[in-house]
Amino acid sequence: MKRNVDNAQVEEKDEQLEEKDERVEEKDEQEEPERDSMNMWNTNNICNCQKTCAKMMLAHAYVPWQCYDEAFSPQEALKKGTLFPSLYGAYPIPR
Amino acid sequence: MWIYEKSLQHPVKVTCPDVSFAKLVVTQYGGPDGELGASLRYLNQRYSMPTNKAIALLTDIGTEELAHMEMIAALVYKLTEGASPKDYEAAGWGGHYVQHNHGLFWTDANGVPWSAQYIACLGDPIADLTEDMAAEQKARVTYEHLIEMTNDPCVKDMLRFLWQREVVHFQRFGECLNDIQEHMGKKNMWCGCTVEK
Repeated sequence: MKRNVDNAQVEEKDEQLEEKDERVEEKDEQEEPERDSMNMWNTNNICNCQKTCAKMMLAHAYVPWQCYDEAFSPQEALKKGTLFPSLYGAYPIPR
Repeated sequence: MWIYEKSLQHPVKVTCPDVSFAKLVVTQYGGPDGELGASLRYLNQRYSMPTNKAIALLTDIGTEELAHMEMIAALVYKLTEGASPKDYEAAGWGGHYVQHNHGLFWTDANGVPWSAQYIACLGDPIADLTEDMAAEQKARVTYEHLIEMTNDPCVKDMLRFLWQREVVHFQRFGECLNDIQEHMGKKNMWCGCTVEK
């Protein structure tokens, strides 16, 4: 920033910066906890699928955490072999 | 210690006996990727797992695999119900009749008897859980091949149930591996050696 600008300009700029900061804060509040597309690591222990995983390392295998969202009825689950629609069809169903 | 439930995990029905298919599906009884091997693998590996959660998971899935072995046994028995020696011979399974009559035996689809060489226990939780995940994948694909080899809708339905269980078990073993790797990373413990930070 130039040192020879007048006070008014400086104040204006400061105000703008403040506004910007507020907007950033609002955005932070609204944002979902940070997570990657595979649900592999997350800093927020809300549910198992958002669980913190140790940082992924090369030469290790990982499976995405399953989120408990929807469920079949008990009758349907016993027929299909899973309670979870998200696990039914994870591989093409053999007919 | 187990509690025995006097019912199958899923009904086993066949439209009509089919000795040829019994000869094939017996591989899930005593073949390399069958239910006997699966149950013994998990019920044996549980002792060297580092967390109670992993031990519990292996106990649960190992127990369920015993229930699956029971379902496959019921299926093979129903597929051969009332079959004559000639029926066995026509199905290319005369050797089974000679040695076992209508009894069951743990073999693969080619008559090779079950062997402990099908399973492993390295005592290393990452190696063992990775083997378990591979085992679930191999069993899943074997069920897909078997479903292709039968036209009986009742048999397909029951095999599809077992197929889906393999997918679920893969997910659970994978989550367990996530946990174990995190657990071992925290302790900086690899291959049973603990290094204090």
